[in-house]
Amino acid sequence: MKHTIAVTGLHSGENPQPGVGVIRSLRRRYPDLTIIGLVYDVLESGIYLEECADVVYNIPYPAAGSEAVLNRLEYIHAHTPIDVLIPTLDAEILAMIQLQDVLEDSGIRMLLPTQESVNTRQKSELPDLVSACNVQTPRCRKVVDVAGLLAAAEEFTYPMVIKGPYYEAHKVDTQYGLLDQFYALMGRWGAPIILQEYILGPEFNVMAVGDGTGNTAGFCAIRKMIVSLQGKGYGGIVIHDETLNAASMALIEHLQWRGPCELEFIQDECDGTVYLLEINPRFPAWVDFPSTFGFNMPALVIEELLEGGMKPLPPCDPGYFYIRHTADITCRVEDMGQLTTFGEWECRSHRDLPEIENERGQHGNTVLYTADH
Amino acid sequence: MNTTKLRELLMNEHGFAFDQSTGYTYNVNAVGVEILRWLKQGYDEKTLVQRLIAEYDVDPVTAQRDLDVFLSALQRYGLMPRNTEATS
Repeated sequence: MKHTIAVTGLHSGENPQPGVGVIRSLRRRYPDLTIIGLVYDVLESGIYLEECADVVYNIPYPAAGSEAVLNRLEYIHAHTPIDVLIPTLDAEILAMIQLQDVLEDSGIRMLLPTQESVNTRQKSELPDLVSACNVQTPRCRKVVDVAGLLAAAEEFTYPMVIKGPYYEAHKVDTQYGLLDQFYALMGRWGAPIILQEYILGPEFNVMAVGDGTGNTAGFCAIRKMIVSLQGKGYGGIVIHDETLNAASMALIEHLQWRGPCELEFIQDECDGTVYLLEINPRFPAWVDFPSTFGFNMPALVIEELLEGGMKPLPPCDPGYFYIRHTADITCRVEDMGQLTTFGEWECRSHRDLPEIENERGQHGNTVLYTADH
Repeated sequence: MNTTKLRELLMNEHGFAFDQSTGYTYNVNAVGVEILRWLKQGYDEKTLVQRLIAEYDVDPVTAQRDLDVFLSALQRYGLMPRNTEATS
């Protein structure tokens, strides 16, 4: 398949973004694709990863406004025509929904939910959503100032959880910790801030691709086996649990979800109640894990947009598990310089670089700068 | 005894077991593997004790005590309902 797919979210640091996993999955199914990496920062790790993007362009943050984003995408499209764009970051989704029609007119297709679906699953709206779907969510309050925060905190007991509107959730044990995190989250993400009762127990994530009519073409549920200090799943095992499946399906059906999403749940270890924590409007960072044993959900996006429709996947096999492993990538400063200076960079494989000898006669693979630089 | 959950437990001959609905895994020793097999076959508690005595050459008190400990562990891990919840 000689199509070109653009993917965002290439950083795989402490809080890994899904872009690299999406690209890996796509390459498993479609080895001939041209992949464009769209990045916000020259230090997004996936830029320099072998067999990831073929070409990388920087793009402005969504906060720069839809016109700035559109102008940049049109420039990129003129140089490297894009068939499909897969945004993978929460903060991009609403901006891309607004640009969807104009981009489609240019030939750039996306598989996105409606704005109403996205707004309905916002963290601050979860109580209304779950009540319509016969699902539970932890008690929560949205606050926009310190007075509201302290008043809401009176309704809970410590520890409690404080969350930003898009990212981050922190367990706090004291009022000092609560205020500290409130100011930090307000500074990073703005209002509203969510205050939520603390539930202790195993955490579950569900990845799905909705068809926009209430059905899913792909579905995979995992229990987090390793949880990082930031609450990220650094290991997960595929499970099959009827309660979790029914809750997920009810939510996706109610939202008429179109495109990828991730649902996060926690089970109260005392009484077994399953609570919905949040719904993310994009693929999760572990997106490539099910693709390694045949459940390729990014490929469903391509099927829907370029091949006339998704071919629904069977239920995911329980028992597979993943463990996240970090590795160091060797990069060259002139590559970063190219991207910094020109905003675009055609990636090359490190294996293509000639091996050279350094001063000690040892073999390295490159010289960064010669003397006359 | 209600063994619905146990019947869904996947287990190899070495006693490594996997619960598909929770994703938890367990290690069971050789005697535990036998007991789980008997439970899945529908043996009641009295029969289980008799089998333990016959197969492992232990006295009735030891067999009953060890079986109680094992069943209580299964209940603690949610693999069998607690006695008050037992329906069959």
